[in-house]
Amino acid sequence: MKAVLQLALKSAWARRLTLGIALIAIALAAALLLAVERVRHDARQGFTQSISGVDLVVGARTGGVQLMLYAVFHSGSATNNIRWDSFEAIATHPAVAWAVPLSMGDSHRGHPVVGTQANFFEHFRYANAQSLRFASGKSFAGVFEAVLGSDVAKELGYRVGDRITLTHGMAELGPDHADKPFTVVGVLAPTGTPVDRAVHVGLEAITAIHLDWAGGAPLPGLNIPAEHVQKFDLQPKEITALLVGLKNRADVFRLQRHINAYKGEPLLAVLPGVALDELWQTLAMVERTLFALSTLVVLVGLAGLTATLLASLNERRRELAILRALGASPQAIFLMLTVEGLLVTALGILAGAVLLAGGIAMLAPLAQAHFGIHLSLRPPSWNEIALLASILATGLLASLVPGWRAWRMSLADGLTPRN
Amino acid sequence: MIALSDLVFRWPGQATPCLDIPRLEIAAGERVFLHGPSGSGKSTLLAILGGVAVPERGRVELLGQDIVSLASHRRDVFRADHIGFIFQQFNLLPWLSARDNVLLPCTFSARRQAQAGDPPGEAVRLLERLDLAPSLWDKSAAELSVGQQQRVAAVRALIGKPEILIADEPTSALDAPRQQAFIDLLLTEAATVSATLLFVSHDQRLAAHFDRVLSLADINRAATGDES
Repeated sequence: MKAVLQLALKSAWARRLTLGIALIAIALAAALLLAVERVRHDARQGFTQSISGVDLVVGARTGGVQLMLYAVFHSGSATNNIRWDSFEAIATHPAVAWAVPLSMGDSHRGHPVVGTQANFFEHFRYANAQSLRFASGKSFAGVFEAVLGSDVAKELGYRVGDRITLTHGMAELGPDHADKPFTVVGVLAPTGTPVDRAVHVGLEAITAIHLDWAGGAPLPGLNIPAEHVQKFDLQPKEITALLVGLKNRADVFRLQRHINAYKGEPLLAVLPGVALDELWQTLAMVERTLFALSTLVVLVGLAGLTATLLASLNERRRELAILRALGASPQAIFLMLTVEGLLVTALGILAGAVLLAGGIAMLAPLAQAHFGIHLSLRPPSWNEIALLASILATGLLASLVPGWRAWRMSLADGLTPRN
Repeated sequence: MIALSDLVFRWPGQATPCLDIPRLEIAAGERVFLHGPSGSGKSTLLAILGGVAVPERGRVELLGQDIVSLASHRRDVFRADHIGFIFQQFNLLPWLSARDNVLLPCTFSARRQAQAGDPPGEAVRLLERLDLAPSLWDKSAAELSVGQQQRVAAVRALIGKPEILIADEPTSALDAPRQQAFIDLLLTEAATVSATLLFVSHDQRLAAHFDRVLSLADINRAATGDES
């Protein structure tokens, strides 16, 4: 039996070109399937870990998913703002422990700018209730001071003390607030959440840079220099959204109803966990479709393997008859073909895993920058190992077909193939 | 050495048997030429002797052992241990060297490995004896000429001194002058290891020098000449 297996290896090596092509097909298919699984897992991880310890997210009345998208993921924009007095009404509600205002709309070189208060750094939590940490520097205190997310600092090479200019709107080449530069006073430690990509400034700063603006453009002839902004009332009139923490979590539904029925203006309060689930559901469709497609691709790859092995059988008929004459049993012939298919599948899977690792190493920065998905380079998870094992099992099934045919053939042929 | 009695064989789906041999006996060391036209059942008979095909009736005794009564895997081992085959053409695994092809029986059969003593040395001795130049030994089988391939096949059949040599039209791919030379070589080598040689061919001109000449039509009652 050992002799036959060694011969199987040598025979396969002699046909390495055709088998190699089948192997490449399996490798690509396995890599695709693994990639879909990895992106799905990491995206979900990123989603569910993006915010925690916040009981309610509040914005102008809109969809819950949309509110989460712009308030937490800095994706899309709010259709309406919230008046400042609404924020104050919620913040001073007896059930509320803390409230953090958020004001979006500006950007810095493609990164969103979040106007907030210093208590944001104190209350915001991500993953398992981890709080934000400063890698260097400290929270903003003055008007024209900014705290950078770790990716912003890393990508643009900023350090504490550097000066940056904000841009109006989210376009990378929008009109600049060049007259009022900011000083970087702090850089946050990496969190793997959208916070990494944001520039945080005080709410007053947002008001200050828009003092001499109206309708999204600088007012002609009006220029208020940075050193004079303190003379103005920098209390914002509107904000985009707010994060709310409760004294007692049991009050969450009561407060949600209260906010949703708020008389002053139409508001929406969502529970982040529920809204994230809802958001994930909408993406799950896409994810399942991708998964189904890549499963099909794997099946196509394995069908290619079966076809290759079956096609090779005719030219190997003589070879199998020789092995029979030398004393190989039909079972050994069956094993020889099956092992060959299994070997190609196993090597294909291995190559696929390597391909995926290489792909992630190359594409992870892009995925992070453009989609906010943090793809990690790590050994396969149990889930992925189970996927690979099921590819191998299917590969075994696919290899049984040529094995079985070779068995039948060697029984029918005896020692002299009849062509 | 070889004794068939009351042998009846038919391929699946055939109405009439293609072999019906009441009796065939070949003594140890005997060198027999079995003649029969193409399609007369020669290859089937060899498959039965090799234990690859099983008759529906009768005894096939080789070395005193009825191989029909053996389990199929025992028949495979028996074949590997005691029989050397040489076929018409394409005897060798094309992706192995001549030398490795010769050594194959020793990897399949512990008995033949033991009888060869030192298999690599024995392979070299036989390759030299059958006039194959050392430069050819490590060439892949596919690179050898047909005549060289047939001689390598003969070496492979001889290694480990099997008691029975079966040659199925081994010269039909060779040109006329080489045919007789190959047969003489085979006869000599069979005699040297005192193996029983069963040589099968449709070409009666090759029958000289054999101890005995048999016609399949004479021993096979089912012979009609045009069966597959």
